[in-house]
Amino acid sequence: MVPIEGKLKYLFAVGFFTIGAIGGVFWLTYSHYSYSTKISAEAFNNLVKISEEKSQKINDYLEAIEKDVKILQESDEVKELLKKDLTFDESVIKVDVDERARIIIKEVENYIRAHPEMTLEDLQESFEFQKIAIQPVGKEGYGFLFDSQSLINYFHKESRRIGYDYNTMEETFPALWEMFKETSDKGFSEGFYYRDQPDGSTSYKYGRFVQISVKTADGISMSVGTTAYVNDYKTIEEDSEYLENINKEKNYHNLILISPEGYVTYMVEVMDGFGTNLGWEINYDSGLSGNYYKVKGTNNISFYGPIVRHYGDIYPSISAMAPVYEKGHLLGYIGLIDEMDKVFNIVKDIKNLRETGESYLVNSEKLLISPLRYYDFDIMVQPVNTENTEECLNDFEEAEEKGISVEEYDEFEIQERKGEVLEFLNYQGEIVLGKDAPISEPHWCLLIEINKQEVIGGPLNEFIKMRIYFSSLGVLLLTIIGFFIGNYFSKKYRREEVIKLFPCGVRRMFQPWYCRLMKGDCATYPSGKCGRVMKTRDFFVNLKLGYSIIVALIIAVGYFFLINLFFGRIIYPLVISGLLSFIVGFLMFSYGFRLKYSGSRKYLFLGAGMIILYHLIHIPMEQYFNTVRPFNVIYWVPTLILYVLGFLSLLNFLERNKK
Amino acid sequence: MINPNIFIYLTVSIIIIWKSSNAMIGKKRIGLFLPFSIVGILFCFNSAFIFYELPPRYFFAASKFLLLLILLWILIIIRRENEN
Repeated sequence: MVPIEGKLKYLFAVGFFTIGAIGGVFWLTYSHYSYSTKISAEAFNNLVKISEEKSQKINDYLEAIEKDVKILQESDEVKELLKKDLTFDESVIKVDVDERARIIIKEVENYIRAHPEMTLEDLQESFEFQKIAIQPVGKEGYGFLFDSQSLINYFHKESRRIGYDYNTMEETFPALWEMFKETSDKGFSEGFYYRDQPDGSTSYKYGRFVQISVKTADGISMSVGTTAYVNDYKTIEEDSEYLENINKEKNYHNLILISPEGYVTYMVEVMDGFGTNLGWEINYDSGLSGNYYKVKGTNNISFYGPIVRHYGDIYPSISAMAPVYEKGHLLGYIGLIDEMDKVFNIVKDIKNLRETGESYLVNSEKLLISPLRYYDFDIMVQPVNTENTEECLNDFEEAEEKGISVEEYDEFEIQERKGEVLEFLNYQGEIVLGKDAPISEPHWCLLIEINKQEVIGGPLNEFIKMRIYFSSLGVLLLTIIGFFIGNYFSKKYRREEVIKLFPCGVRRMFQPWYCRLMKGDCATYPSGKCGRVMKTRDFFVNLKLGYSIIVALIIAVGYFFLINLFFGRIIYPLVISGLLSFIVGFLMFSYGFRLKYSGSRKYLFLGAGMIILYHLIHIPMEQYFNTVRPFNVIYWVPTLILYVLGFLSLLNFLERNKK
Repeated sequence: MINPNIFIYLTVSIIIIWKSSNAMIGKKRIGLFLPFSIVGILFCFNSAFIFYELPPRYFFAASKFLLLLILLWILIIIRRENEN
């Protein structure tokens, strides 16, 4: 036995280190995957629980309202009120016209302030301004604008009135002329008056006239007139203590009665819209009109919301409406309006939602209808076009197809998808874990989301850090053990005998390298029955194109699964194109072995190698496409340079290439 | 502020176009180096996309597939040049 000197004793150390390192990487990858799956599943289950609790609370609240509406629907008091004759009350038209006047004045002033360069002529030519100035009031009423000093009309619904001098009415309609004069002198007037109509008849109207605080660019001061026809408004001339008490006791925003023709005939709290008809164009956007038509269609209790009733309202409202019958005869409708603060309090509760958790509502038009936790977006304006919203709205369609309630469908879906964690991009493009809860009657979606990074990031980092310590320790131990084994074998066996310890296949692979490592005469090393030992170069030279593609494909598929295992959700077009480019790069690299030694060959290896490396690095990097800003210098440029250098090397190769 | 990547992409595209045109003239063969010029032009497009802040996701996927085809083209050129 001749103990061999040199590098054999390190062979086992290197081998053990390599095996340990590869094993460690696989172990870390698997640990990362399994642990992140476990904690995201826990966090997601928590979201499911929260969404169930909140949707249950919202449904309880809606059920309580529904119960009250049912009581009112059957109440004799309500039926009696709806049977009363409809009359006209002066205060009713005043409330409605005054509110409309307030809005028109504000809009006209804002427009002139925003366009200080516009003269009266410019404003008369502006379609946008015309729309603001002569907007409808009540059924047939309207707004109009006239010169505060000369009393000449500049903006009017009827073209015959434009340019009309109101001073000419002093004798024909003195009451109206008095009001114009009062507006000109004191800045404000209001009252009832008679006025001639295009068909020659005379109508009784109410008007409110207010001088606005801004002037046009050519210094003209205008007044806004808002007028409506008295006969258009219809109400019940009676107060109901019963309804007032219920409204007070339950702390609702309002209780209203609607005639079968759509007139809002009774309101516990008088506000604009009282006495008007919900079928009027002016009421189309009021929300109450929406619910009225919904109830008319379904003939059943219906919820509608949110409704933004006034500028500056703190909370929007929700309305519930039901038809009232007596012996099969429709008497009218009962409506209940409640502020959405109770719903918002349920939704806004962020207990168990950590730092980034969000809980909010969207309606069937994908508009945000409840405030967000950190962002001050306008409700009923901001659309939320996310996968989570889509998922929820799909539930409504699926439930309808299956003929079950959407809550039942959601429950069924939770059971069916047990164990599945839903990940989405939220309205900010961040990856979140999200759960939707459809609320059937007002057709809302409750969305609960939490940032994935917050859920997984912290605990996972700690977990992986520990694993890295352990795996590093393990690799170190293995290397030391390998070193001692190598030392033992190097003393015990002759170099020729060591190689025989390995199976034939392994020998084929490692013998050339082992032979060179030992610096011995390679010809003297026995290869047993393995035949001729193939060198790396021979391997590639003899590899046909088809086999090259297969080898590259195997590596690419392996890499694909590794990436998939690590990220879970991958961006397919980018990964697949990256892997295909990797295959082409590999084919170039292996083709380099077939070329005879020449100066240019190294450029082919270099170029193809860089392109391979670029794709191997870039494929995992691209998975952060949505989280790292695209075209971020620090992030993308180093790899881009690698890629460009690869192309330049290939170009160099072709330039210098001599067959 | 202009995204600094525009300059990086432009510089890269100028270098590639300059190198490939030089090679075309030197070797008097246009087809051999045409794919490299296209890569240069593609980088130029990249900088334009960044400048106009167009949604990069679809463009990225499309440009990646185009680069893949060009790589394939280069591979075919290399094989043809060394086997004929």
